[in-house]
Amino acid sequence: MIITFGLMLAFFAVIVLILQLTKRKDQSFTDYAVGGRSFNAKFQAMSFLNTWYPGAMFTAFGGLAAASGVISFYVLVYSLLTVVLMYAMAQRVWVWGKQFDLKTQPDLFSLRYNSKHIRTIAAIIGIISGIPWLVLGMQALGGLFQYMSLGTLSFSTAVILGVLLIALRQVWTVRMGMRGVVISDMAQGIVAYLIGTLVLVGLILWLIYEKGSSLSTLEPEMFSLPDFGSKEGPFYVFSLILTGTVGGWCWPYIFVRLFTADSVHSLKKSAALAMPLSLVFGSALLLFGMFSSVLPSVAAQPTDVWFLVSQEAGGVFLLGIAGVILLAASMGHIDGNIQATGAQIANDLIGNYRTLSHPQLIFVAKFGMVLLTALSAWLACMKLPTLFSLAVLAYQGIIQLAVPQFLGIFWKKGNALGAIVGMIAGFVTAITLEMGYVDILGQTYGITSGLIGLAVNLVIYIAAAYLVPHSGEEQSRVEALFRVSDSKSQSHQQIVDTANVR
Amino acid sequence: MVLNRMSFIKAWFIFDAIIALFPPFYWLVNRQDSFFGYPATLVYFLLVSCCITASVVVAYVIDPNRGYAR
Repeated sequence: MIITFGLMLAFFAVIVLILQLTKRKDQSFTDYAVGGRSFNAKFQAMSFLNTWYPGAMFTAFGGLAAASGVISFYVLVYSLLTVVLMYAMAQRVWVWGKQFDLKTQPDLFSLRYNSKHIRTIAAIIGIISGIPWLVLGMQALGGLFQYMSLGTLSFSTAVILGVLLIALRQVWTVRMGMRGVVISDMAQGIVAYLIGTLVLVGLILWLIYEKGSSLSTLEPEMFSLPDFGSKEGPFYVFSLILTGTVGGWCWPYIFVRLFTADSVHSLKKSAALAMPLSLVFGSALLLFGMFSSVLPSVAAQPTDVWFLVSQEAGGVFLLGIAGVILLAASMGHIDGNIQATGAQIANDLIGNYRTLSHPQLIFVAKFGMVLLTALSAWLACMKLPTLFSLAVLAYQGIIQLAVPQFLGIFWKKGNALGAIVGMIAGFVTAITLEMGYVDILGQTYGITSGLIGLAVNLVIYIAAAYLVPHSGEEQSRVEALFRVSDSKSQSHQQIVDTANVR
Repeated sequence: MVLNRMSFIKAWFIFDAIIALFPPFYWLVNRQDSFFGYPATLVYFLLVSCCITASVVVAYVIDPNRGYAR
């Protein structure tokens, strides 16, 4: 226990030391919320990965690979495909962010649709949808602590200790804002995804050479996908990949990464850097899970695959390293979530209706983060049997932001009416289907409630665009907005002035 | 030339979306036992993943606008 907790404490101390050494006073709310748009491609790449792949990758998706096999690869495909989306929208979103000082995802909605209220709606959907995942992330640390104690701590005690540690970590998130998140993401990302991949490759070799695991020793069901006649339905994999691809950029803590880069070049380069890392890490993790399924202990508890195999292969020391890797991945995700939510509370909820100075915005963001950390920590220590269902529900809800977000970025015709009504209708459709009409979902061949909601949302958005066209003034504003991001001239103040009539 | 590069990148991105999101591909590989001796579904996911990764890396390398708005 001294070894496992010692390793984790040493890692925690290194992260805190890095944060202390890099701390500097924020000059403005832009500094606090998006790190002053100052990060190069390497920081961007690691920050994206550390926020995108939470600690649950090692437990939930490692466990899915161990229990269900090749279907788990959907997470890798959508994780890569979503970066293609990022590459496609990088230029427009970054340029709008820089020109109009956008700091949050709802800021972009407000700019594009020239609406104050859409900012509030997008922020509320984002914040509410993020809380179950935040609580789940904190609870996952309970499992980590229980394994690190070698079974001596009860689960409830382990959860409380895990929550205390991550709550303590938030002191630096609150103090340093986005700069602290991105800088720590680099250190945490190196541990989680570079060292993590090395450990995974080592464990795969151990499983092959010591345990005799191979592709041919796995059950044939491990390589099958849902098809016609299956319980999930033939469109299930399609639904999972599409939902993950478009849904990824709907999370505020992921979207805000587009505003932290120092240039479009850095954003595009970060995509090119993150993709190979993501490919190697994701493939290694999922193959590791599949190869581990031959172990009886893993077959009994697939979600503990990461801890069980590490301990069996390398004893307490490797278990401690596995704990550090999972902690590193978890911290990145939780920090990013809390920071983005705090910024939204200040910028998009309070700041949307009251004019606040930069110091006031920073104060409100910090206060919001403290409240959110306390609320999530409290919820994480409670027994909430419906929490996972709520988290799934949240995903079906959050993807409703995709229609106004992506069409708003790539299509000039969409308007605020279609965006707001479509988003709300899609959200209500998804939640209603998920909660009240589960039987109907069984007859949709694997199409999820979120995708049905998304279709409703899309129809309303497009219908509104044609039935209620922009006024002449709004048309000019939107045209100018698109010219800003397409123009290669850096002196286009006139275009900016035309576009910025919010 | 620049237009050709952009068109090539766009076409590859669309190709990525099709091979990853077209359900008949899942059904097809699901009904194959193996591909060069390896499970067809696993080979499919790995090939799709490699293709998507390569598209973004190549897009960055040949993107004529990558240096804009520094």
